[in-house]
Amino acid sequence: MHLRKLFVVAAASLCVGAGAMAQTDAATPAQPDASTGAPAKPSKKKKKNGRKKSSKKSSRKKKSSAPAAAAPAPEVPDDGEPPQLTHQLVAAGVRGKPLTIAAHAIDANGVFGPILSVRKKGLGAGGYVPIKMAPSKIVPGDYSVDVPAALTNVDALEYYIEAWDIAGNGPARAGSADQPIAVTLDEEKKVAATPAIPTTVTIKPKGAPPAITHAALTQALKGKPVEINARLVGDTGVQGAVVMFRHAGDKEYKTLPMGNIGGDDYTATIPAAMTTSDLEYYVEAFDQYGNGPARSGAPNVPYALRIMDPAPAAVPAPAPVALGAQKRTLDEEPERTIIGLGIDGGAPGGGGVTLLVRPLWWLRLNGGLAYNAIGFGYRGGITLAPADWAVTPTLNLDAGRYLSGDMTKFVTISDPTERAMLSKTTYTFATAQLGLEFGSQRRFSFYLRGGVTYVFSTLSGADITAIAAAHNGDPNNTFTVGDAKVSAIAPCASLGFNIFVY
Amino acid sequence: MRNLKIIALLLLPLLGCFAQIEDQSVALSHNLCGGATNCMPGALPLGLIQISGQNTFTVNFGDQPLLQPSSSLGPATLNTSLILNGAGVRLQSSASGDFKNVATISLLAAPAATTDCSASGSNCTLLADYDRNRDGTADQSIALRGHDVDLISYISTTSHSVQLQFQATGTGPGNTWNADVSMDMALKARANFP
Repeated sequence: MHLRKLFVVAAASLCVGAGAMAQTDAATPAQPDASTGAPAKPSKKKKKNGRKKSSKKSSRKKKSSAPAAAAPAPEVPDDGEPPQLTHQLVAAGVRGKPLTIAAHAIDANGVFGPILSVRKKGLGAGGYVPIKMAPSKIVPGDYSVDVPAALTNVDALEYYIEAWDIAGNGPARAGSADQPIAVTLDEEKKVAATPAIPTTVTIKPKGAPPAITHAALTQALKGKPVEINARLVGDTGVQGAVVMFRHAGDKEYKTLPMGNIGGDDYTATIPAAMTTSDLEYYVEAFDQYGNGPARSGAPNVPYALRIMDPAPAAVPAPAPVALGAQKRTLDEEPERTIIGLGIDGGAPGGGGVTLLVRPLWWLRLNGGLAYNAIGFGYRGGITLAPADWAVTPTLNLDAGRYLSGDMTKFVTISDPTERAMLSKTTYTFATAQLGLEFGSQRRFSFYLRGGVTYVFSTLSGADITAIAAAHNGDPNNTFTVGDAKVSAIAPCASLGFNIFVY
Repeated sequence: MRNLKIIALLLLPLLGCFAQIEDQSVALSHNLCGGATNCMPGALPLGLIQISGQNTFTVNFGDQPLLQPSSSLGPATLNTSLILNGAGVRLQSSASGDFKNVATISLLAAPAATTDCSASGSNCTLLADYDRNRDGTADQSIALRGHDVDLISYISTTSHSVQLQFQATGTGPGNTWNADVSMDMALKARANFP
């Protein structure tokens, strides 16, 4: 009995106020503290009165309902359930050294306690010393307490843990007063001689590695730093967030710590000096208790980061090289024009005014009037302009017909029959020309073209007969001549301009 | 070097430049006797057919345009051909009889008016001929098959005429006769550039 009193006094003096408060709280969980979950400190008198007025059973029941009766109603509706209490047993410790005991307790209404009750092994039920476990500042629901060294200077301890919720439901227990958990306390040197038993028992709290959200990068520019971002979310905190990277083909990864840039966002930058060739990387992180690693990517399945030369990326679409690219450019051009007017002149074709229609970006159709010194006519054709460059090569195919022309302007003929024939010349033509167009295919372009033209005409047999008769040297002769075909292929050239207006 | 090839390729079509006139049907009809008079005796055994006492008869084409073997046309040279496709002899009057007894007849180009093409070394050119066994019996007209001879080289560049001669076998029409000789020709004049 004397020893028991000494034990209680020693514990009370070492735990100072906290210990005293813990004694009170263990007896009667009362009004919770809204900020900490700790109950308000009730008076001993009140506690004693409560005990005296109740039987053992009713006293326990009263304990359970006491917080609800003594405290204002909790903000969360009472779930009627005690807290969920988990605890990793502590089986050994070091004599004369503080003994850390931890537990994890959660409840929707908030947890009151938990209370560690500890006694020297062999003492009676009244020998327990209650100590309030302190909540973790990092991991919600984790609680721990160091049993003071003054209490561990014995061969063995026994303890149990109780926890209530703020509404007074409980207690949930790990061990019990009747069946406490035994802790063997050995001398420190024994512990040193027995590596299997750690000198300091650390209970690893439950937890989980953080969740990683990362949009993998696939390419970056050579010689430019690469910023890798990730969102790391963990109930038990985040630590050790790194980007592991290596050059493709290397075996070893280099470690690049990630820094928190606010909230759950972390970043790391692979230096420019490292972006010389393709890279591989992954992201990993642990929680505050070393759970993990959580990974995005993996050492054997890293993300491939292709390192590109800056030049292609620096020169976007307008590179005027590939026809395909030009097609895309012109087709996507919001100001793409399809209707215009063309005016040209040349030899031997003469001049013309044509309407231009561009059904495809590389194809123009033209049709209109033609005029040369012989007369008027009509013509039509197509132009292939397979680019939209400042100087664009073209292939032009035209055909047309000159009507009722007068060719006598080009020849010196006095014979009236010959003049009569040439004065009503008609001909059909077709031209093929290569050209260069200067300017914009969408608006205005000036062009030069050269090629060949095929001319075809028919001379009237009657006219030729008349000519032959006129030159007949013998009255006994009679000429009868059929229609003659006149054809020619000749070089041609032209210049002109196109204006697209719509 | 590559540029030269491209330029040469671009200029290649110019090598095919030309101007051409072509008439497949140029017919000239010539009256042997120079009028309505029947100058040919009837029932005459045929050999060299003399017309108005001449071994040959002259067809004057006149100073026709293009009827020159070659002539310059700007930077180009105009070459002309006048191919004789065939010839025909048609009696002017059926009262003269017919050509049923004509066995063969040949139209020849003679170098001179006095040439007898039947003589060896006469240097005549057969232009067209008729063979009754080959072509069938003629009646009022005889169609002579051409030998694709180019008449241009036989047309005098100064007189614009050609000397022609008939050589025949068999017997002519029973009465005096006159006939129109026609020649069906194809004219082609072409100037190549350059």
